Amino acid sequence: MNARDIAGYVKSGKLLAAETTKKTLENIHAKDSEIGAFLETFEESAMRKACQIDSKFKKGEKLGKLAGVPVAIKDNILYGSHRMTCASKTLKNYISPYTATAVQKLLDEDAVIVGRTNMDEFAMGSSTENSAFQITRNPYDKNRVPGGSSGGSAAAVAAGMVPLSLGSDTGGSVRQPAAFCGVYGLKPTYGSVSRYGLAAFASSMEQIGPFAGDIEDLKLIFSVISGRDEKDSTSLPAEKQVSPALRQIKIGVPTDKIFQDVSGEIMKAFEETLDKIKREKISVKEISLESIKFSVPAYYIIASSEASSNLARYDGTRYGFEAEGKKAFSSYSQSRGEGFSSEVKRRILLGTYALSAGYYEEYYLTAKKVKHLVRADFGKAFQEVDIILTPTTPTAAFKLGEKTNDPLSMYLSDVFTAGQSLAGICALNAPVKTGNLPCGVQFSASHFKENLLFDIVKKIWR
Amino acid sequence: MQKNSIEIEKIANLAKLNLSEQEKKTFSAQLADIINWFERLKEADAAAAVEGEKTKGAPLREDKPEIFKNSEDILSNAPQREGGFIKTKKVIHSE
Repeated sequence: MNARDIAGYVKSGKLLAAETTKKTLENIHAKDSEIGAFLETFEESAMRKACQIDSKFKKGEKLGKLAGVPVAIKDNILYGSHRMTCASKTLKNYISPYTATAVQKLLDEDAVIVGRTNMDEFAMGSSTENSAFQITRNPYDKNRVPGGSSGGSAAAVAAGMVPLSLGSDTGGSVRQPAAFCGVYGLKPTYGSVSRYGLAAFASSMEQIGPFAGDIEDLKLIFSVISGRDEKDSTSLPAEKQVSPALRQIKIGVPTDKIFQDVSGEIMKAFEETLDKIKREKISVKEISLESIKFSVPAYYIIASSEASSNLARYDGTRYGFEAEGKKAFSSYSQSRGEGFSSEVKRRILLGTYALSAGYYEEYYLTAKKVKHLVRADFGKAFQEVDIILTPTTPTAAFKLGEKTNDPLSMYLSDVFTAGQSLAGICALNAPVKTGNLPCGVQFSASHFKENLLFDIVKKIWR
Repeated sequence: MQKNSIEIEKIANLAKLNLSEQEKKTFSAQLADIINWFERLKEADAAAAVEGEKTKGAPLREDKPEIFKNSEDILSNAPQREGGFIKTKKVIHSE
């Protein structure tokens, strides 16, 4: 059942939130042993919240937009008094002292948070294989990855365990797993969803983003979690945008060589989508995004640099894993050496290198300049078109273990998603099924034009 | 082919990260590959981007002291504590 139906039935008294929650938890337990999407289910607090919703209904009080809707959250988003580990050994025992704004907004609309989902440790990865605790399998093919880093949240929706979930997207971590798992996933405009309570990795790009089984549900949850938050100084109020009438919309398709490494099945999904668009008589125009080829290396330099700074806090003093030893500084190094796994260490080392004396200008500053180039390129393109269409990923889901020993090839799976993160614009994955595995196409629009994305998808796949 | 080699021990020390001998070997090779790949950024016309450097600063809220009600929840995440304090290991050592 989709989220709108659940909320509708709960609000009209046809369905008890407690009953829905109980069934959801049972369903998760039945299905998840094969998938591994969840790190923990929150039985007690979920049932408590559900009973509160039912008693509110009995008293005739107004219920929220997401009344009784089960939602899963990525394990890097804080939910007060619940465990949050970032899928890292270092935070194995961390209990959130407060609740993220996005989660609080869900609770305020009477959603039921049913559990926390698996991810690549500290959101670094594209396959969810970097979790310190378990792997997650793609519900469409159990020998394949669900994508990452928000792989658990994508798989939970794809397997029908929850209608909605939250992930976070820094360079594609919502869009890519959404494509691999055949669900909708949104990377909101930078600043549109509060980052308060999201464990920091690359603060200048990351955003909490939702997954949903259909576009109306995606729109609904985005309307709940977005908005200015005093607790996040980089969050902004949604600008009032006047969307052009759908028939006036122009869609841009990049002409640059970005399609050269795209697999046959993805090209097929992309071309089928393009045909659908043309049948709707929406005009399609070729555009140039010259600097996009620099976006992946620039993204990795900036993200790793910010990570090296943000993750300095995990020294085992205030929280997290603390190694034995009597001296503070050697204990920090030891705690971090033991608490982090390979990919996190690799990124911290990369970022430390890129920021170190003698290399700062060569790498970090150059990457920041490229970020502005990419942003300017998108800006120019959006003067000519309203939406840009690309594939979301160059290939469909790859096999478990296929890329774990080759970090660079893993990074390159962000080729279509890193640019939007650098530019801070919004983009969503729409699932397209052409063969055995799901594929995805990505619609990107300028800052705060999420509604345009929802509208176009609804029109094309109505 | 390998233009860049990195002084892995120096970087690990800056990052406060203990690495095993095996990790030092693996990471040196992988990081050199990745850094070589970063080189392609030099082809970008970065000078053209300087114009765009000016971005709006984030609006800051007024700095007002508030009582955080869940201080106990924060303290209870600390590996070692003494009453209302987080206990750290010895920072200054006498030789």
